[in-house]
Amino acid sequence: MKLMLVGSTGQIGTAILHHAQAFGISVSAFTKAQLDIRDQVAVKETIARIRPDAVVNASGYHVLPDCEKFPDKAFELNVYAVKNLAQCSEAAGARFVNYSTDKVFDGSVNAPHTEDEPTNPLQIYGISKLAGEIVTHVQSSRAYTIRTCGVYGGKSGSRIKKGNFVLYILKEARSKKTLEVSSDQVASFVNAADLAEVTLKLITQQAAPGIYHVVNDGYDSWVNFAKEIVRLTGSALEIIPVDRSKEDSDFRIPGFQALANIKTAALGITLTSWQDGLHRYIDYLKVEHAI
Amino acid sequence: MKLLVLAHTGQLGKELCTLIKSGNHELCSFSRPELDITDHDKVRQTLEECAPDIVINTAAYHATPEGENNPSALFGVNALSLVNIARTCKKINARLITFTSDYVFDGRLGRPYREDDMPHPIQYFGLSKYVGELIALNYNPDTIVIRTSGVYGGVAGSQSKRNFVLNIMNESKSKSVIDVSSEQIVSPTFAYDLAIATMDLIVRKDAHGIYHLTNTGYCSWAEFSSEIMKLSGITTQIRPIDRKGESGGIRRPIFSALENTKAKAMGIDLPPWKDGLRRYIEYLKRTL
Repeated sequence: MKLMLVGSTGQIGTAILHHAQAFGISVSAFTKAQLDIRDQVAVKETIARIRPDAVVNASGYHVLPDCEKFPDKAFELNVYAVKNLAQCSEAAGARFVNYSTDKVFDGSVNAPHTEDEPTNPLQIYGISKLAGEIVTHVQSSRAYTIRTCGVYGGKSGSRIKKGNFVLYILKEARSKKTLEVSSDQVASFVNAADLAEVTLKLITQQAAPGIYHVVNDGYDSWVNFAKEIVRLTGSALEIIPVDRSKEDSDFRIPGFQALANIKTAALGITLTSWQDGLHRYIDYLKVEHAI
Repeated sequence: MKLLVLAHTGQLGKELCTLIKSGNHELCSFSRPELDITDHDKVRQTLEECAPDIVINTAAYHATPEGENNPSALFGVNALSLVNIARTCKKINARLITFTSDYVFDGRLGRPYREDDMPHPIQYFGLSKYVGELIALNYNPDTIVIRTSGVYGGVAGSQSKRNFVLNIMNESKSKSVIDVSSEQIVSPTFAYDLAIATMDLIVRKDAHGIYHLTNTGYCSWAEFSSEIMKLSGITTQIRPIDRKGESGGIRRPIFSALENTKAKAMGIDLPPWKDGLRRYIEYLKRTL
């Protein structure tokens, strides 16, 4: 099976590259410099040339404050480029995978969100990602939208976010005694390796097209996630919960971000608990001498 | 009250300004050339200087093939301009009114859409309008979104595309038969009726969120065209054609009629579509 991967240097893209071989999948990977997904002609030509069985878009404009400042850019990358990719994949008979987020929900339901719950994104990022979902399924009859949350992976995490939450906590632990973490949000978390594996399972098992929630099992506050990181690494960093929900902000984020993996479970595809996903990541970082 | 209307030379903008001026309100209004809705700094400055109680945004990039091929321009007007407008309204404590479309829906429900039905647009135009709704509602707490459909009004209609009534009347001058789509079911709306209902709604303190305001009932474009011919005494034959939801270069929802449940519960409703059309044709006869 041949896979075309866009956004190959991100956390998810890197994990996909890493796991594809185990599935017997060959990957043609493209960085931003190698393929500008906003260029409809280039996307069409590339897909026509490669003739992949599946196209995976692991790219995205995903730093929330940047989306607020540059909404045009958020829409270019999360909507119009996605439409190009979905449309060209469909024309080539290829499956298409696009990633989305818990932030398509407003968090008003205090229980893990299921795939068919009504969406209501509160800020530019979530709105652009919802729009991306919509164009995906209008253009492609064989697309998967994989909604996820709290992704962490790789030795250095996300280039643009300068790491990930786990690496951030570990970095702070090296120079600080205490660290404030917002206590008002509850989320799901996912080890990028697990996310990549499930992505590849969905593709190779030819699962029905649609929206899938993929996160490690269970959910907790970012405070408790941080505390678990500290515990697993034997650090002395003290996590101080701070309720930032009352703070005035330029944009709104949902308080309850957790996702429920209803549809993957129905296919017999399961993920381990978030604690287990985190444990494996910490072990990986230790092996890679990243910590 | 002080109101500010954006895009005041449009079909709807004109009707609203006429009503506002005849009421006891103060009005600042701007045409698209006077105030480009995508000129964020100028829009912010203008809104802050005018300091209205209510901002009414009637600017729109209509559903055209050009728009579908130029999403930056389309979303720039219908969606992203609202980030700036809504944020500014929040800052100056103004109520924001913005108009969107039946095209936020996919038209597959088989019954008229209610305000709380889930949007699912099938083309960029509808998506740009849906995104505009989300932005307006989330970036300014006091926002009213009015969804409407098939708006027609004025002597010349919309500057960019006239309107359906004028276009078909014009086409009938040179044709004895006109093919019109029979499968798209809509609620065509007389701009004057929409403006009246809008003014009744937006001054209500208890109004918030999304409302459907269209002339009541629904019909296909073919039925609407036949009625236009009948009311204006034109003998051109209307031939209903099933275009399977693809016309004017765009994918269109099959059944996108809107039902007004929320405003109706507040005592605000519009006359039936045939009645609106009759008064428009009479207005055209008087004016042209």
